[in-house]
Amino acid sequence: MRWLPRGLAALLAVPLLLASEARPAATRRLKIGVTLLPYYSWTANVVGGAADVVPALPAGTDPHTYQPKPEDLASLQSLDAIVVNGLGHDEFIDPMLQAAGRASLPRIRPNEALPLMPVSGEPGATAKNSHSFIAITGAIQQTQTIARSLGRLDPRNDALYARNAAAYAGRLRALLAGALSRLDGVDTSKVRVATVHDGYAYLFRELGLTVAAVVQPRHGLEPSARQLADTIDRIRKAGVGVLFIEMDLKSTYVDTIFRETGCRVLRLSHMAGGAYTADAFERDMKANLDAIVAGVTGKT
Amino acid sequence: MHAVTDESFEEIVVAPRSARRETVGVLLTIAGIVALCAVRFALLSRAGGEREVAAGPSLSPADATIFQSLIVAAESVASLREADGRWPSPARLQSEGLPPFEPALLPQDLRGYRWEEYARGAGVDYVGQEAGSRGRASFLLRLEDSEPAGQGKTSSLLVEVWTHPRRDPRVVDALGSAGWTRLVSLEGRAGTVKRP
Repeated sequence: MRWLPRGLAALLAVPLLLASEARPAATRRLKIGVTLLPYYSWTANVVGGAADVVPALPAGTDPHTYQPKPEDLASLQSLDAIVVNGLGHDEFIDPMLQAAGRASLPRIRPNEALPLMPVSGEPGATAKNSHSFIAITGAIQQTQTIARSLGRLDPRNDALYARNAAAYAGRLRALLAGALSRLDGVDTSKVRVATVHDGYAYLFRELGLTVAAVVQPRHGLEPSARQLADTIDRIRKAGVGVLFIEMDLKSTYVDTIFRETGCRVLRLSHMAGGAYTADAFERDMKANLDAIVAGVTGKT
Repeated sequence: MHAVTDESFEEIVVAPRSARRETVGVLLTIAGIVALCAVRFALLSRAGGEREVAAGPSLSPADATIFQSLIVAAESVASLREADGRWPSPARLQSEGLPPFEPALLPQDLRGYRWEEYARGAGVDYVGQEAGSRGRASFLLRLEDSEPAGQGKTSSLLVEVWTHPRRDPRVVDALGSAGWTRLVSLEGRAGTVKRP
């Protein structure tokens, strides 16, 4: 869903505009929208039971193709704020908010103040890698930002949000510590990994690993035969030992790379699919860390 | 200009139009666009901290990891200070499992930093320098109350992260004059980001 047809948007918006009601925040239970699954987990952990967290899209939908339904727009009507990526991963939300008559809904931008990375494979590009949600220290920083922003909207629960964010940070740090301890003894400066998708650069950076090649920088782009040959060449020259592919990816060119280079192939989660639960981020991150450690150390 | 060649024929020479008016028109249009841009930028800067601001100049992966760990640690440092009544020491921060003070929470390659604490009036500087000789940058986390807590008021914290390309840099009030580069400045509970 890159855009919403104007006519459809207008039709959907009419009943919603009639039902709109401006209510002051912080005098009642907050309703916070989220555009991505990790933001759901982070926000749910920050608010505990003190506020409602509302996904903008139903679970399991592909934001690139999904057409919103009236009930999706209706759920945006009652929000007090929405947590957005804003770096290109949730471009669907602005047309939806416009259609819902909530174009001016306050945005919480957890990417604020993050040391963002450039998009891989585009030297000199100003575009930033939007997958800042696939990280652990990055997740803690973003959770803190969400907690501060919610505390400003809802001062009564400011201290609660800060405490919850700190407790969540402790659990995430434990995940990181576990992975780093298992990487002890491995000379990570000599480990070269390649990824099929440019979504894991932040996580690899936190683990001290270098991504030597990205096969498919953007979603849905299959490399041409020439790009594939170039990638195989780069993997060979960089001495890449492990190729990380996306969890559900079935593509013949991955087999070709494996056949031509002999590097091991492991799967990582993009962390944006599945049911909206408070523990989804921790569960998916733990699976990713296990896969990375297994790939790097050769131990499962 | 009129040139009479004979009685039945009059030649009229039309001089090319001066390009002056067109040039003036183009210049006025450009000036108008520039003025509109200036007004737009002025309005944007008045909008304040609601816009997304990328933090700091481009950093190497290693430096970005230290920088981000410091930003994340700042909130816990402030909480510990509130609980203990004084700024926590690097050893206390390490015991709390906070990277970069706790090296086990960093990639192996970044575990060679030594952290020291310098009191600065009501604030504090935490300075991290590489203990080895790999030529890594130094880092400084500066925390201070920008608005002390009062009756019914929450204190506001100023958080800054600075970096210096060498070891043993001078730690002074005016860090910029001693070769430090500010990576980010965060102020207040809302975390408004200021450009370096």
